Amino acid sequence: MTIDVEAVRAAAGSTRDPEIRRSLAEMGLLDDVLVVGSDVTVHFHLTSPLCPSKFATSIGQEIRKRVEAIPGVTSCAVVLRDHFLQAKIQELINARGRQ
Amino acid sequence: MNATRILAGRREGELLAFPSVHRMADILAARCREPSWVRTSVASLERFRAMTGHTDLELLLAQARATPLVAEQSLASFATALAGYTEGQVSALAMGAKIWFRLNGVNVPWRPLPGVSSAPALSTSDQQGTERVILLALIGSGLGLAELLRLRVGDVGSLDAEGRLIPDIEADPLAVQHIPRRGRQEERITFLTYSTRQALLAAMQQSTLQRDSPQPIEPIDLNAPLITQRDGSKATLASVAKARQKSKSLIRACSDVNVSLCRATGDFFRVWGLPGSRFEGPEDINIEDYI
Repeated sequence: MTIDVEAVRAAAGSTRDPEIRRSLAEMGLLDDVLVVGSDVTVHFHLTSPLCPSKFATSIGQEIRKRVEAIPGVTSCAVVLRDHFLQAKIQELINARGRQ
Repeated sequence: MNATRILAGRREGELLAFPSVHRMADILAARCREPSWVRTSVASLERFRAMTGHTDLELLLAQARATPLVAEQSLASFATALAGYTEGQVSALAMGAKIWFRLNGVNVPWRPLPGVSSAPALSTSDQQGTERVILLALIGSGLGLAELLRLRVGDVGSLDAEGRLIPDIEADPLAVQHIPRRGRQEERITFLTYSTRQALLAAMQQSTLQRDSPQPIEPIDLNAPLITQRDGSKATLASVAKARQKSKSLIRACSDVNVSLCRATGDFFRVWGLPGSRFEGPEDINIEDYI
């Protein structure tokens, strides 16, 4: 089954910032989307590198959840760019079984 | 949720050691749908305590029970300590102390304390009054639009010692009793801001002037709708729709400001580095001294 990159962009981009209540796509925060077979990698950034880690983690987890709900996607890795706590937040977002 | 949980981990939670504060927080926790009213009330009471020097709240309460004038004097001295604050700020900060006195049996007046006049409302034209009240009443009260539109004049006022509403349109803070549309159908209370109170009073005054019976003292009909048109009739769907539209525009504009501020702050720290990263101080500094 081929994964449609645009479908992934639409799913990931529809994730809403919980505070501003606008989608990532609308705010231009969604970056690269890579599809290799059934594995997807979504890159995104936030309005500030100091965005509270609770929000950042929650947004990243929501991206993963939405993308992994697309038929045919077996895994979604989320990459947060340009954040001071990037490594820690990414670890939380991509931890298996923590969704 | 009980008061102890609502205030867990918050500095003002220490005030629960005073039985009278615990009583206030327990009543609010049981009566308010929004737990934030417990936090707001206890935090502003803490401000009152610190700024008036009444560190022993139980002692002040005992004195006020014996001589109610003591309570009014303490509120007046709080207002003096808040000199330069706007009426709205004074109202919000005095809220905790007024509720605390009332819920502990001291019948302090719920009337505005002196403060600097806030900016006047931009327009008092017809419809604008209704829309303005609707918009303001939804801010911070936790009320839904349908809940707001069902309110009667007798649903706003002050509180008695058990947290029950005493109808009084001029009360400050202005408490509201309502029955939630969702969840448990039991009577709850919330509060309207000082700006909403002022807008409500202005709208009621306009409505009285508009009617044909310009009697100077007209009895207030407690069963009349709280949100009305200028002629005293219920708010129309059109004015509600306009208020909704304005509300959306306001939220959108504020969101834009929020995003711009986030981006600007982010851009600054991208260049500067993490907050504190350029700090240069004595090498033997003990960070624990600053925590």
